[in-house]
Amino acid sequence: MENRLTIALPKGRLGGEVLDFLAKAGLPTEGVEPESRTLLFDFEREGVTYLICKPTDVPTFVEYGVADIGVVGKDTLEESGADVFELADLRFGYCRFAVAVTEELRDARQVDGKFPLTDFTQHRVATKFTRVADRYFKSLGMQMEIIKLHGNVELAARIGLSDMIVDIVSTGSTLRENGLVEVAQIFPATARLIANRVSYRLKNGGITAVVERIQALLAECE
Amino acid sequence: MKKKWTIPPGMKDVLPGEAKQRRNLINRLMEGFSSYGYEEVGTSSLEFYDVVERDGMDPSEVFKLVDREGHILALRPDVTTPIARMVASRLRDHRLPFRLSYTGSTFRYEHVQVGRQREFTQVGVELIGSDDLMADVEVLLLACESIERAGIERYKVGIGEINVTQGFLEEMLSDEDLVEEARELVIAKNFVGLEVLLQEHAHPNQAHAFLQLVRKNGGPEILDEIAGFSQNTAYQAAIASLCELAKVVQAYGYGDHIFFDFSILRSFSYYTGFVFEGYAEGIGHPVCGGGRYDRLLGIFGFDAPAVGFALGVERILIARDEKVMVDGRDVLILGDDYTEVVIKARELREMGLRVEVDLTSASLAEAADYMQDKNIKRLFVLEGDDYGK
Repeated sequence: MENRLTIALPKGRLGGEVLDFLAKAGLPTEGVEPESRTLLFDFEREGVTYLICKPTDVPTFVEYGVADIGVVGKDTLEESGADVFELADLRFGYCRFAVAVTEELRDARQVDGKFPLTDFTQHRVATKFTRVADRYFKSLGMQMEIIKLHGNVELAARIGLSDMIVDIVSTGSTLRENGLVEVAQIFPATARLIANRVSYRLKNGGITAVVERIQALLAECE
Repeated sequence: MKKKWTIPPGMKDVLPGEAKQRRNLINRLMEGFSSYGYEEVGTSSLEFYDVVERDGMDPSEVFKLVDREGHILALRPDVTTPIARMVASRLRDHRLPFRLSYTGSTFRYEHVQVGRQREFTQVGVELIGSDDLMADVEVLLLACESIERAGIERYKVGIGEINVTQGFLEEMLSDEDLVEEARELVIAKNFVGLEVLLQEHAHPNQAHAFLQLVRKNGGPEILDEIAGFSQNTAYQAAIASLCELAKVVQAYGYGDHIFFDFSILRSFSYYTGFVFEGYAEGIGHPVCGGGRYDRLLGIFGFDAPAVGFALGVERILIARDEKVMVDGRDVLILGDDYTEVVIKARELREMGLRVEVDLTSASLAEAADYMQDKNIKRLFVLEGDDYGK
């Protein structure tokens, strides 16, 4: 069957890294701009079309099959809950999900250098990532009141809207600037190659070729 | 506020035209089954929950209710388990093998999206009482033919093997929970998660071989490539059977439609041998699925091997994406005398026409307007003793 591939790429910082990576893996990327007004880039001869979209929409485009494959951070993928296949870890774009509280709260409650997180069951937590937070606290047997915010989550803990926050952390400097400290790591995240369920079956030849190039490149980097 | 009358999420009304399209599809598929000697059966929509529990489905996906005696009942989430229950309890004295076909609604508490509703219609077959490869061949070929009968030309059927994939996992991982965790990662095609799990819990050589195994996807040639991954007897026997199966399918002319993919496991836990899923363009979920389940009937006290598959009627309709045609009528009858009208209508119906009787004492102009709206081709007017057209 047809082996033309449509690939969803994220805008923004991760997008630039993804393009560099794909270029190294031998895919056509000339003239593709993750920040331009153009949202579609077509490489007729190579049989590749790129869709440029918001990172949080990459899993959606792939889940619904308008893109066959896509690249997205594990953090975004996990939060989306999209039913897609996760084919490869590209090992860049590192960040981690973490639970953070104010420095004062940590100092007041920690015992032997450990923060007793599970004591805080039935407390409030603010986050952009309600799905990740919900799953994490459930796995600890905790019931939390989860407050959904859309940005500047650090503020919630700072001004007492919630006792703690769940957020993505890459270096930890944003937390420090807001007087917050990490008390638990949920999981680390890097960029992932994802595929639509049906494309994976019907266009397997084309997708496998991309996966193999990527794996060869990753093996070289090791 | 005025009350809005809606239906529960994931349920669907079937409107004129749609209902006919669906009925025609089901009939076509059932005719195909019948030509292979499958006899239609039906099972009840409600089962005791402990029957349904045997298929290994997530309990939260089953619609349950409690009867007045306090028994937990379930709306059947598939038809295979109820048929196994029925055969084991009511047909066990008959001569094997059984070739049974069915159609009916099934219910699962799914996250609703296109092609994934909470009530859906399945059409399928079960071949009970044979563990011969010929039975696998028959069911697989019938599945391919059924997809074609349904009017889908561009499709692929992917074949996996429980003894290959799950067998490998059981050999490699000591712990039952780990096997289950790995199985779920394979089903979700989360190769990254799988790699992490195997790095931690499996021998590096075996982990490497297994990751290669589940990533393979292709024609019969990949069977040779994976043959050396394990010396386990069940693994080797399964691969030998698949080679044989592939030869027959090739000779039968469906070679281009099948491929092997050892990450296909199906989510029901009752499968014990070869499993398969059919994919069509335009729909994100398989249009059919099935495989061999040799231990399910044993659970109900009647040890018999079995193999079967089911097609999803709604998913096929989505993949075909046809325009819905509302049925036309041939004749509208107009007249004042009830007796004359019904007798004339019978006469015309006996000639094979589809006849609708006017209920509004319409004028000729009104009738013409009505006929245009309802796609009725001819008018028959009965007036007193004069028959007019």
